Amino acid sequence: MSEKKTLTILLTKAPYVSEAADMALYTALKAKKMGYNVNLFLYLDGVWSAHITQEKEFNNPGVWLKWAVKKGIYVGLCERCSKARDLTDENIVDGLVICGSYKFMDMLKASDKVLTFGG
Amino acid sequence: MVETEYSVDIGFIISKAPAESNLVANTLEIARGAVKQGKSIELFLISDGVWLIKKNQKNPAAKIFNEIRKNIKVTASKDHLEGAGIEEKEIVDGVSLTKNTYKSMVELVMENWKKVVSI
Repeated sequence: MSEKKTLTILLTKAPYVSEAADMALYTALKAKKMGYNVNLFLYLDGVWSAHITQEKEFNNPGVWLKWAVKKGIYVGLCERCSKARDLTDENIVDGLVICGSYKFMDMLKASDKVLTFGG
Repeated sequence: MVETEYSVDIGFIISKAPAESNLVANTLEIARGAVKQGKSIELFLISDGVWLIKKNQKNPAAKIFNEIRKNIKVTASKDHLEGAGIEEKEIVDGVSLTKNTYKSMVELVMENWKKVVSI
């Protein structure tokens, strides 16, 4: 069996202010469905998508994140960015990992390609 | 990382409108420089990036785009064009349109492009 390629996606923008969060999540889910390993790292205001834990009658990035975790996408949040915004394990989507930016470096080293949304 | 033969040297994903800031123009200047160096270049336009292919624009990004578009491949999201209300007769010629936005983009990034820049 050929080795799977890895895609890492960096999201730096908050949900709803633009399409960046939607694009990052749709890309991640599509790439996973296509058979790639996928990492998603939420950085700066990108961490806010992790805070959407309630149901909405409109587009809900929190639901997409839950789906990403369920599908086996590793979703990490920058620790400093989370702390700056008072995000903790208690108030973010289950299964997401608050980690240091060193984890993002590990993702970069292991990736074939890296995409940024929100820059 | 997985070894692959790539058909395009550098792919650019553009999700920003040409006139919203200097970012698209600056990115296309990089693309223009790469074309001059003999590199194969492809653009993938998504979200507000689709505005770049509308005819008869007068902004710095469109000027550079029109200089280089005969020497590069350009693919745009049909869904995002429709979302922007841009009809096919309003876009410049030579652009491929895709209905499978995210599938097409992931395929290009992971299998066709040696390097990727996303804005």
